[in-house]
Amino acid sequence: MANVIEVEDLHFRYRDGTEALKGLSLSIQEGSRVAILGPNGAGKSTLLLHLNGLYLPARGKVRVLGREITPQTEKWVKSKVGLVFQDPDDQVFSSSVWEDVSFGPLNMNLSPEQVKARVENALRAVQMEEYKNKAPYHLSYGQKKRVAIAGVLAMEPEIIVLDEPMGYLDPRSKENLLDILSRLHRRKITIVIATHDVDLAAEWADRVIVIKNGRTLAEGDASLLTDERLVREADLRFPVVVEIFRRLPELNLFPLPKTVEEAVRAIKALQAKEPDQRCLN
Amino acid sequence: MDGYFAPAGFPDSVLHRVDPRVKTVSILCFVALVSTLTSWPALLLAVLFLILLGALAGLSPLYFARRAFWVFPFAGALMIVLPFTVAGEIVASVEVGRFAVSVSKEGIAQAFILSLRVANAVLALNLLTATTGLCGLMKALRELRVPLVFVQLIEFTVRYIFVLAEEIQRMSLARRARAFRTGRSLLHKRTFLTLGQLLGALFMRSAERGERIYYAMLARGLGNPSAKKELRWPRGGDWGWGICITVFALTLRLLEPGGRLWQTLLK
Repeated sequence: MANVIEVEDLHFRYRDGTEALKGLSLSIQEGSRVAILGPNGAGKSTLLLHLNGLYLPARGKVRVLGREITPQTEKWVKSKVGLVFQDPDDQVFSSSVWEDVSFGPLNMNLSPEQVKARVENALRAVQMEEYKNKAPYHLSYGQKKRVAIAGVLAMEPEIIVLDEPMGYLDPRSKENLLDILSRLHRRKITIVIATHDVDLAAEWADRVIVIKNGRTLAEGDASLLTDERLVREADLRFPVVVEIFRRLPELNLFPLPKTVEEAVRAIKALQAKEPDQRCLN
Repeated sequence: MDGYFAPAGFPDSVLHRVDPRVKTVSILCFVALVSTLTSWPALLLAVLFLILLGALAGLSPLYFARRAFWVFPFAGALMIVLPFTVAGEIVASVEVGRFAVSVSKEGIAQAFILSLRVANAVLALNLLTATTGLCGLMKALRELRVPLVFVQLIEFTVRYIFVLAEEIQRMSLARRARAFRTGRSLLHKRTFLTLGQLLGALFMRSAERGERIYYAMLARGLGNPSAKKELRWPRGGDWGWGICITVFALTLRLLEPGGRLWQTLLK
C-alpha cells in the first residue's frame, strides 16, 4: 500500500530555542491505524502540527499524499489531514454545535447545501445530531470531544490525526471514541494518534512509531512494545498484558501476547495442552 | 448564568420572528433617541412602551427587573451620588461633626432622569437579546458588516467565560487543598500575593489557550471565507416592526421640545 505521509529528516526549533524535532523521519501507510508513542516532550505534538501544515519544516521534508508541504500546499493539506486537538475546549469555539462543525467546510468555500450535508453527516458519524443547536458549554467533556471530531470529519479528510485522544475521558466515552475510530477505519481513513498510553497503542494500533527527543527510535507493528531495550530507552512501560506474561517465562510464549484478545487465546491454548492442570489457581 | 444567552419568553412571538438585523438596528436607534430625552413623562412613556413590547414577546416585567439588577452596581452608584453632588435648592441636609452633606432638588431630579434613561437602555437591550438569542444576534452583527473582530470578541468572551470560570475554580480549589485560606481583606499580604499569582497564572494560561484555539482554527483552514448569506432579505412585517419601534422613539424626541413649549406658553 502507498504511503500517505512521509516525513524525512524533519527539524524544528521553537522561538525560545527549544529544539523539538531533530531529524525525525517516518512513513505512514494508507488505511493504517498508527500510534505515535513517546514520553512527554518527545516532540509528538510538534510533529502533528507539521502534518496539517500549521508548522512548515525548518529543515527536512513532509509529504502528504505525495505532495510536499510548502507555503503553496499548506492550505490544501488542511482539507486532507484533519487535526483533532487534545483539549476540545481549544477546538470547539463557536456558540452552537452546528456552527462549530460548519466552520471547516465554510472555510473550504463549499456551497450552503454541501456544508449542510457535510455537517449532518459528520454529526451523525459521532452520534451528536440531537445536540446540533446546543451551546458547547452545555456539553460534557466527552460530548465536546465528539463535536471536535465532527468538526474535522466535516472537512472529509483522508487522514485524521488525534493528539492524546483518550485524555480525561471516562471509560464509556473512551469506548465511544474507539467505536468512532473503528468506523472511520472501515471507511478507509488513515488514523494517526499521538499518545503515551501504551495499552491503547497495543490494543488498537496496527503500526507503532516510537519517538524520543525529536527523533524516531523505532517503527514497526505493536510487537515493538514487547522489546525491553526499546521500552526502556523510550521512557515508556510495557502494556499490562505484556507485563503479566513477561513475569511468566516458564510458559515459553513467543511472541508475547499484547492484547486482551491474544492473552485469552494463549491461555486457552495452554489449557488445551495441559488438561490435568486446569484447576491450577 | 446558563440561560443568559438563550432566547426567552414565548418561543415564537411576533417579536421573536422579526428579522434580527432590523431588530438590532431599530432597537439601537431607539436607545440612541430615548437617551437624549430630558423630561420624565417622555422617558416613562418609553419604558411603558418597552414593557408592552416585552409582554407581547412573553417577557414579564419581573424578568426585566431581574436582569436590570445586574446593571445596578454600575449605574446605581451614580444615581446615589447625584442628589448629593448637584448644586441647587436644598431639601435635606445631614451634619456629621464638622462635615455636612445636603440633598438638592435638582440632584434628585437628575438622578431620576438618569435612572429612567438607564432603565430604557437596559430594557431595550434585554428585549433585543431575549427575543433574538446570542446566535441570531451574532449573525445579525456579521451581516450588518460589523468588523468580524468585534463579533468574534463577543462570541469568544461568551464561549470561554465558562471555561475561565471553571479554571479559576479549579485553581482556587487546588490552593485550598494545600490549606490556603483567604485572609480577611486584600490588605492581608499573603492573600494579596496569592491572588495576584492566581490572576497572573490565569492570564498566562489564557494567552496559551488563545494560541491553541488559534492553531485549532488554522488547522480547519481559517481564512477569509466568502461572505456567506445566512439570513434572507427582511420581509414587510420585519420592516413594519423596525419602523414602529424607531418612529415611536423619534416621535417622543420630536414632541418633547414641543411639549415644553406648550408648558411655557400655558404658564
